[in-house]
Amino acid sequence: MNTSTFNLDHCIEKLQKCEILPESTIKEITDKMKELLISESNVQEIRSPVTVVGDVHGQFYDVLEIFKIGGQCPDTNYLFLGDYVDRGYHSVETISLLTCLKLRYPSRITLLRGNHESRQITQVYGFYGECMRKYGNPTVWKYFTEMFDYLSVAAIIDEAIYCVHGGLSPSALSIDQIKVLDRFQEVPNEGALSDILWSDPDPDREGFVESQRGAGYSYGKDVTLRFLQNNKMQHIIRAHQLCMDGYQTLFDNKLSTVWSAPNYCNRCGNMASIVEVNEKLERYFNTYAAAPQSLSNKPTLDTNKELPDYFL
Amino acid sequence: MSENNNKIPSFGLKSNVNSTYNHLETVAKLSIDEKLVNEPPKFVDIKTITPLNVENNGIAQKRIISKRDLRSFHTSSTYSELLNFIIQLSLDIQGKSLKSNFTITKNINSIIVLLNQLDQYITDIPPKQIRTRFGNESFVEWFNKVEKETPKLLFNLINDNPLNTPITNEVPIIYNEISTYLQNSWGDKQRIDYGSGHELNFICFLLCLVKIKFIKREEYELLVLIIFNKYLNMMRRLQESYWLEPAGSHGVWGLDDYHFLPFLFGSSQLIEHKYIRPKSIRNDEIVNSSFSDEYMYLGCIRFIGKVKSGGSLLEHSPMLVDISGVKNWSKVNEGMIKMFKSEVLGKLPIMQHMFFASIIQYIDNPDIIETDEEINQRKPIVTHSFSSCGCINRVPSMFAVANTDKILASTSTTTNNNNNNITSGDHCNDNEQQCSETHNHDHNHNHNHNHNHPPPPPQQQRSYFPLD
Repeated sequence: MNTSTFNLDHCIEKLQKCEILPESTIKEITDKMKELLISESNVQEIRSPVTVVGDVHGQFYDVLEIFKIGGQCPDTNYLFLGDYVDRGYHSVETISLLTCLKLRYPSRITLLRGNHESRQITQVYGFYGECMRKYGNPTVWKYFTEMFDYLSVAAIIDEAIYCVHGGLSPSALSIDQIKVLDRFQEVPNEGALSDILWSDPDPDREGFVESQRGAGYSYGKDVTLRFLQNNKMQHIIRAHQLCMDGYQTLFDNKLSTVWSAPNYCNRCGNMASIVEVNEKLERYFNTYAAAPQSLSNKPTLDTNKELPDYFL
Repeated sequence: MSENNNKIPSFGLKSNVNSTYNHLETVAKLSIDEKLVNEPPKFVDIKTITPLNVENNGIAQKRIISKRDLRSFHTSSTYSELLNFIIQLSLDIQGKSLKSNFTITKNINSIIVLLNQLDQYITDIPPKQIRTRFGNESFVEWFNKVEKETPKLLFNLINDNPLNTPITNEVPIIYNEISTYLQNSWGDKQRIDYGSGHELNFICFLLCLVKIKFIKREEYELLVLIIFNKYLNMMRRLQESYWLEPAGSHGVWGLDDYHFLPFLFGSSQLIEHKYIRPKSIRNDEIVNSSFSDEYMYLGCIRFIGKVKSGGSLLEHSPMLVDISGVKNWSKVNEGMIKMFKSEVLGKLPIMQHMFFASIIQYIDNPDIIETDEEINQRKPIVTHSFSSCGCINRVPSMFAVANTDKILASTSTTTNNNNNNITSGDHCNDNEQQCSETHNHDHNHNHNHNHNHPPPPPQQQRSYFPLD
């Protein structure tokens, strides 16, 4: 136990400098993480106060900024809604840090699954390529994608606020149904597990309509209010959609979207936010802009090892 | 083949007897069958061909639905034909500037006139002032206009009529088929996004024109240096005007959020250039020089620098910086072809959007059997765009400057931001404090955006975001 704690602190210290862990260490932390996650419920119960974080997509220095603004873990209790990887340069460092923090402070940080925590998506949108570039083989990608299958898919704050990556599913209109889903699998392309990671609210339409994304549904105000009423919830916090202001509220302030990757893809110029939920269940959107990137830790130049395979 | 072999030119490449490296030979190996890389596509007669999808008014259809279908496609003559076409286009522009002296043929000029018409529609349909999505919904209006006009425009193009000749009878169905590719070259009107799959549709449109013999082999270089380049500039205008979301962006792990082929074609243009090396893209002087008007690759680097913020090329486009370490442009071009085969033609999220009908046919291979794993993953996830939400009254820095210039009727040139600047810590702190002050006022309340609220004046827009 002492050795394990010491190693985790060392890993966290290293990761906070944006240094990747060795492959063998990744195997160790992902194995330990699976042991920890397997006993967590599909729907995690969380006590306030808690700070809720949306998509971060490998923007590591912006994650450090979150801890500066919202407070360090474990001083602040955190709930991350998924999409840790793909697109950003530092998905490996980001998911490694969050994994180590979860192992070190399991009751002070909760990690949910997003639609990008899957083999199919990460092979296309960057994480697989990043692992190949940083480790030279896909082993680390395999370790993490196996771990992704164990992540919880929803959380409830003080029995009142329902939290999930995407939103609702016509196949699981009660939280009890979500609690009994088999979550230990690759994100399927349809069904309740897929829907709650892929769906989006639509203020212009009622009911459930198949999503333009090709997975999940759009859901309207009517089904959202019915979901809240039937499940005795007050509010939904979800992520999954870029918000130029960092957040957006819909449906008479019954649903919030939080987005935590500022200046997304260095293109969007958007703000980002985290949601601070206090003991009275008041929600404060703490917004921030992109962190200045450290002048150190620049990618290595002019080495054949760094060239993408196509160009060797 | 009725075509006289003597009329088919060898590749545009002029062989250099002194060179120890034969680029043609290397690139030919990347084709399905290197002996066939010089072959023309299979021609069709537009007057006698039997259109498919008559029940759908001849509109080309998506036929690749599963991974098994994609594997089948990779064994087909259509795949070989498409890949060879792209390789031939690349070889025919090797070492050629966009500003070379061209003789523009009549048919090439007709395509220019058609694209100019579509470009005019952008001017006619300005972006909406109030937007409820990341993408501007005027794009839907523009797209619908293009969709409606394209069959007529193509009929007149191919039949050598002036572009706006009224058509008394219904356009033959086959023109709806060719229209499908051009209509879908500009993005997706439902998602208001654009990606390399749409770019591929434009190549398929050009391939149709070749297959019906509207374009000849000696015009291939013009297809890239004039027509594709014009398309690229139009896409940039669409992206800037209507805020198209990147579809399927790989973020820093891709070449670009929107395009692939300008890098493939652009690297071919630069082969054996006297001064410009792959590493030249790291030199702002070169990137901001007129060389970027001559070579697509440099034009892309310049445009990326224009629209990306929050760091240097190294930080937002490390793939491009890494590729700049490749020893010469031939190797870059070779790598781009390999990468295109794998990352565009080899990816189901992109290829499921390819259209097929009678000119570009889907030829199924019954010997390709669906695996158990493929059966379990039968419904693919379509291209994943940002799909943002929210009321947007603010415009990020680059476009804010552009809008400010328009609003103030300024005639001055926008100052080039140095894209190597990193936002200063002080600036970030100021911004953070400002945000903190703003939100302390509403500490116990959530912001409820009033969608009817008019946008703030430009000066306030700019102040929301740190500028370089």
